[in-house]
Amino acid sequence: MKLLNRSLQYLSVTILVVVGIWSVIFYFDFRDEVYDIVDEGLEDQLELLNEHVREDPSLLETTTFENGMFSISPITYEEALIYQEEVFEDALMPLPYDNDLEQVRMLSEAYLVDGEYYKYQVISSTVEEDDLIESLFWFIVWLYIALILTIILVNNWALKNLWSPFYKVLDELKQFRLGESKSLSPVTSHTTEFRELKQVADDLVERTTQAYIYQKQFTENASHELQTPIAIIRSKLELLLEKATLSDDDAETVGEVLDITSRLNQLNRSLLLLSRIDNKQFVENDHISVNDLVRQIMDDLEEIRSYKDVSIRIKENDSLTIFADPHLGKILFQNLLTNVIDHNKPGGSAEIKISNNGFKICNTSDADALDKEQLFRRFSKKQETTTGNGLGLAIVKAICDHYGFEIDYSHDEMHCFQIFFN
Amino acid sequence: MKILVIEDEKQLLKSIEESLEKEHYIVETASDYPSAVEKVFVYEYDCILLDIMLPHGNGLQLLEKLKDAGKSENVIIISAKDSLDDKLNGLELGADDYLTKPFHLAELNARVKAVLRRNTLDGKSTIDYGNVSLDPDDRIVKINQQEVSLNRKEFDILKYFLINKKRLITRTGLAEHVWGDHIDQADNFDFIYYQITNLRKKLEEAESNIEISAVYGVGYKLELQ
Repeated sequence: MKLLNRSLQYLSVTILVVVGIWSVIFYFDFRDEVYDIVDEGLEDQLELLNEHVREDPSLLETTTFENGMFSISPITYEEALIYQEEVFEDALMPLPYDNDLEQVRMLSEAYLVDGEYYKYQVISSTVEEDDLIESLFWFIVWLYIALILTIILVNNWALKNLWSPFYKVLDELKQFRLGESKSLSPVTSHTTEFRELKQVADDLVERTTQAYIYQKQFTENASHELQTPIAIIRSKLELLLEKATLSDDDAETVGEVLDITSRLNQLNRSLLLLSRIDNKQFVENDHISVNDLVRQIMDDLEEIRSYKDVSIRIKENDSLTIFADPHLGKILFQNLLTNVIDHNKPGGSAEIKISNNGFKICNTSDADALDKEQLFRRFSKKQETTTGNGLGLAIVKAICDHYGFEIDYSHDEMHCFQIFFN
Repeated sequence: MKILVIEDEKQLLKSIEESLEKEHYIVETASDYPSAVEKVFVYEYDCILLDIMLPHGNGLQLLEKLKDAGKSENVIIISAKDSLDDKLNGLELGADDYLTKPFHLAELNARVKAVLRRNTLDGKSTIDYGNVSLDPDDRIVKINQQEVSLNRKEFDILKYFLINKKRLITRTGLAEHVWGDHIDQADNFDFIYYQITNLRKKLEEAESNIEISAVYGVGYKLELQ
């Protein structure tokens, strides 16, 4: 959920509660205030009635409210005790000229006139609670709507203006690609938090980039540094083998170590190549004819192919040219072609298809479909039968990624690798 | 033939020296930049092996000086860096060849011989051993004056053996030399054996007096019968 909607959600619920409680308190307070005013008026009225009665005792005959807003009725002494003090009450009664029952406020008090007790009652129309609640309710509703609308407007404005640095930083971070982007572009803000956010994001990016560069350089440097010791081991062992002083067993052991040294060297070179691809050190791009390159590699591999008894069919639908470093281009296709020979079955076959925008290479094999997820991962060696270092396809993938080529693996009787050059 | 090896790693220097002496060259060594400069400009060498990373200087700087003095054409750069830039710079500065560490001694030997052959015009361009004569330029092999037909790879293998006669050639070294970097997996050792067997057969049929013998299961050696 977006920040705007989230804050709106919180605010609308909070405001609803606040406005609700406030309106209840307001209602009771307002009603009491109205009653106070009405009651004071009734007291004055009663005082006035008392004076009128003294001047005109005939008013004592007015036992109903028919002709005015008061009534006087004789009561017993016991009843008079109840009305000794002023008694206010709400009542419903028909008002003159109006047959409907109206809500009225009524004040009753007992008076002693010529030794007789009388109950004086005055009434005044007052607010009807229903009406009050209803109009108050609508006021609250409109107030609520007005508040929410204001919040939406203010929030929108605030998000657009106040929060714009935040969204800029967010966008920058989304766009950030390790190893591709240099640093985040500057964002100015007067808000402390956003300035801090930007600062923290910058620091993070810088540290990550540094770590990435160090790590890349480390692999490359380590591989380079290993070359010389391997060279020493190899030359020493070769010289040792040339001496006729070794027993056959010893010589065989030395030979095995020599073979392992070669594997070590191969591994080291592959790592070096990978880190150099990752470090983007191949920039001498040129137009390469895939058709020519594949034929040339086929030619180089001819003896191995015939030795392994694998037949390869090339189908050249179009002539395909790619723009890449010739060295990397050669490694890319060489790895794929060596793979179809090495991982084939005796008497098996392979198919190469070169078309306008794609290259497809398929081979027969006794192996089941390979795990697509693991296939291109570094050191994801599956079969124990090969002594490959598990980096061949990782290198293929790295080269494809480097040039934005798309590589896919599928299995349908044959194992197929397909590259789309776009 | 006089060869100067400029390499700061003493152990490797020793191995290279030992290997080259087996070919009966006069080998001199230098293990830092100043002593290398001194030797290069005082004496004449038929071939110079030059490491790029040197104490107190850079091999490429030295190469530049050699180029100015017109002496750079018999230099082989040996470097742990197979970085393309260094390679191109080196070759642009007139170096004859560029060899990446770690190399096989047989490969180094072949490269040195190639430089020597190119720079010494003694009129004879064939490599002879026993009754076998191989012309690297015209790619012709003659045994007992009779031309023998070899396919391209068999020719390369034989040439490599002739250059490194009586020296150990490892299977991996041979595979790398003839089939390039990517075919030195143990997986393919049987394949190398198969190739050698074919070549042996052809040499035998042509009644050559040289033979390729196996060395402890790690490699081969070319010797007179």
